[in-house]
Amino acid sequence: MKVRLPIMIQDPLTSRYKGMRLQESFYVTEEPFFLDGPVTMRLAVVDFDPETGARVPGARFVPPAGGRAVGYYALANPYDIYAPDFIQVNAFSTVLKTLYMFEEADTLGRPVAWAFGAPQLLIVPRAGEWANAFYERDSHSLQFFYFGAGGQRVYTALSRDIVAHEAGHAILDGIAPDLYNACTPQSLALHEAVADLTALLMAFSSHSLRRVVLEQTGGSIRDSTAFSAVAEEFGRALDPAGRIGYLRSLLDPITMDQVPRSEPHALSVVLSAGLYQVMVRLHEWLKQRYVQETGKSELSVSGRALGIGAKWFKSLVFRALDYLPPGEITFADYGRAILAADQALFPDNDLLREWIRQEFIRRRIVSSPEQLAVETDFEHPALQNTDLQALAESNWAAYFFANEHRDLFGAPADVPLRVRPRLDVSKRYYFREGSRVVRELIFKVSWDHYEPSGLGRPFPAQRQITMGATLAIDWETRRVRARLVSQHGRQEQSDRDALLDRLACAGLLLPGAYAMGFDGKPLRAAVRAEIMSDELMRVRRTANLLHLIPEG
Amino acid sequence: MDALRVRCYNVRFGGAILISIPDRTSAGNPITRHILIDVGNVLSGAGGQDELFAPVVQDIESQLHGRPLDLYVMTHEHLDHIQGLPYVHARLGADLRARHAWLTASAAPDYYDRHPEAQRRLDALRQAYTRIEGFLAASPGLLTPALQAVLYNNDPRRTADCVDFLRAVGRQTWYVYRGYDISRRPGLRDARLEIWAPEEDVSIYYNPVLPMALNAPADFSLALDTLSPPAGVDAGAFYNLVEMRRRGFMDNLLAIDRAANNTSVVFSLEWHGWRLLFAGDAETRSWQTMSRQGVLRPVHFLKVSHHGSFNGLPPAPILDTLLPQPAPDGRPRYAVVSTFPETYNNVPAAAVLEELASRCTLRSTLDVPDGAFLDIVFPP
Repeated sequence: MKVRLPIMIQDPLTSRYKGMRLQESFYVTEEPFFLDGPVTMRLAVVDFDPETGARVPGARFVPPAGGRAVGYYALANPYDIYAPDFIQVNAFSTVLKTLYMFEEADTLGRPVAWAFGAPQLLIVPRAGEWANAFYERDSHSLQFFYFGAGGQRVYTALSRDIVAHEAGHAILDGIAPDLYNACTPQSLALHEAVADLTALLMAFSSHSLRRVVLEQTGGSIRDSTAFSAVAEEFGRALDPAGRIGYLRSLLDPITMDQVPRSEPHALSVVLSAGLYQVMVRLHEWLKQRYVQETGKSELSVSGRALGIGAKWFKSLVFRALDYLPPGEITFADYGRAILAADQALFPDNDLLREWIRQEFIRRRIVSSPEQLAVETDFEHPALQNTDLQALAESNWAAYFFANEHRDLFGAPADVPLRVRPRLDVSKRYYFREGSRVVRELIFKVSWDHYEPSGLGRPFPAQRQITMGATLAIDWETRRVRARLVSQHGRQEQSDRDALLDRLACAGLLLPGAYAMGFDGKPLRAAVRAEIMSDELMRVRRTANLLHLIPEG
Repeated sequence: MDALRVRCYNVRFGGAILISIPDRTSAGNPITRHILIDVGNVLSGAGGQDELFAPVVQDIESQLHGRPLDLYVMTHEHLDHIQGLPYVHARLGADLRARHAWLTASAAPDYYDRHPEAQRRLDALRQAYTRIEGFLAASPGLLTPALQAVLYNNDPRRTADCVDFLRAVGRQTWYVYRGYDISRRPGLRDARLEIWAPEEDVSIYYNPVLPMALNAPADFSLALDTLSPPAGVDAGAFYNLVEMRRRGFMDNLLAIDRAANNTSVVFSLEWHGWRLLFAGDAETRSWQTMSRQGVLRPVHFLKVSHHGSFNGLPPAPILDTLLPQPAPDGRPRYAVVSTFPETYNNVPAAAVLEELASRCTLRSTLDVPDGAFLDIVFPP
């Protein structure tokens, strides 16, 4: 069934001052059913009346009928973007488009499962009055709030950036669920950076926006804030003087030594802005190439360069997520994963990999290219006669294999292993002769690591964190396409100490029962130190720090 | 009287402390000065028996020998610390008076006119309180004794009445904060008082509230017509979402409670080489601010904050400053907790009491009968 959905091109304010129309259409064919709401197999909009709390009927779905081949949602006034039914449908469309952007064969090549283990992500488009929006695993939901500014109500559910950003958190939680409980600041920062890059790539995905922006900037994304400013309307509403004008800027030249190592939001900008610079270089490089190939002007090839460049960039930054080892992650881990993804994509063209290495060094994420070295495309005897189908389907077979070949996973000899659900992915790769789908088995193994908690009593003296390894195996050749193993040293441990100490001193990290409300259920905005024994704890729900815990 | 004495009364879940300090008059004659800190307990449940105030106030009066208190300190605006004196005045006609009264800075009648940001944040907390109060009134099934206790304790109307009364307890009333000039108020000669907290601008303690969708009834079956899941949405997930969306009220109620606790007047008293710390109900944020401001010193006595709650315990690095191990001067050290079990959420916290007991001699008002007291004496 083909369905047409409206989707905001950017947020209302930004679209207006750029002289753009507000919405464009998005056609969907992949969903098995559509219901009023919108509700589909994996997404469901649940709208409540902000005053009464009653559930508001969702937008009515009109299936294809008669001579009409395309279904649609019947909106009372399709041009009234502030009407509840439009807000419902727009939030849904934006999340769905974001989800497709991750799942298509050009990126992950597989469906994403939600981290909360249920089929539907719930979307609350008018969650109440607050200048915020968040993803919350415990309620299986994305919640978008609204707030008043300058006599106008700002709906976060109408901002393509914000909806894509929050959808990015939910999707990443499904891909790398350990990050939700991570206590390495860079792990939490990665969540935020990926969410920002998701918003960026959603902006790139709009042909209308690309065209308008490139016309206005003479074909360059180097200095324009059009793509690099995340959540412009939101930022301007919070800062009416317009000094800031956005929540975060991907043009920020900030480096690791200029931000507190325990502050995930500040850290995230180092990574996302660094990767944006790689995108800028890629765009410039593609433009030059197309100018040489076609003899056209830079401006006239800039749209094609941005479309192709964004696709390449998207493949790297998202495919790398499947390559991340389980558990605590550093930016360097992610850098290695990107390099591995690019190595698989373009084994003979090192250009982008070199730019990434340069940017990671310039941003002081690593000090040398050797720190980004990653093992790719090699044979291992253990894989030659192994039944990959059995590894994919049987937990027992997977555990037996991992335990027998700990060296392959870089796993310590004396720790119990956990095998994660294996991923059977089919990704499209482009070659001179055309594109080809490559099937990979992604096999992740994790283990516990113990270190001093760094917190005084009454917190236990030790904390448990998760480490692990990822193998990406070519299903056809049985070669290892990438092997990534957690690499954590004293600096990362010290970063974790700093984050947890900061949380404990702010009263946000609470042990065991103290993180519960008066009814014995978990407080919504607390980070919990689960007490596993008198001497051992583990931290849960640190991702709440990113959006849900109010800043004092 | 040669020794300084800290007398902690068992008022169940609340606080009442009388400090008696050997001092001198302007003519150099010996005199015992008396400082009373708070008198109150919670308004509900077993932790809040008002009849305990009678023997407490009788004992205080007996120590004063007809003189007024030299100083009365209202640490913060919570009923479990302030409702005792208005109660004994109204019910028993007791009329404790003081030469000086210190009330926490934000209790000043014009405080919020001078601090509009604090006013804005307080308004948000008060609005949240009103909504929570209304929601719980309509949802009796949710109202546990602990929830009732914290709800009553933060009732702004009753609190305002008590604070009005306490503004008149002292002949002179001062609204104090760290940095406030207290040199002649109350004018002790051999003892030195120093205020460590709160800040003058307490808005930093008034955290923004979380959203809470409280307009749906607690019992979903009462509202199936308006609160049923849309077609195609799993009912369990839907009702979990509705429940989660309102759960912010628990966080907010604790935030409201924490906000007042963190405005506690925290002061030290130094006398003949002893340093005693009276922490009110200061919670983590206040301890952190004191640490940042560099006012923390090792102490020989700690009035345990917030009845032994986890959030009242100074974070480990701060505790290492207050009660370093071993004691820097080898003198004995004490901590006293005024508490009552099963009144507030996980208070007193066993882990907190264990931690304090590992560093000093820990006493509890639970060790003495209702209305009685325990004394800790510091010789000259």
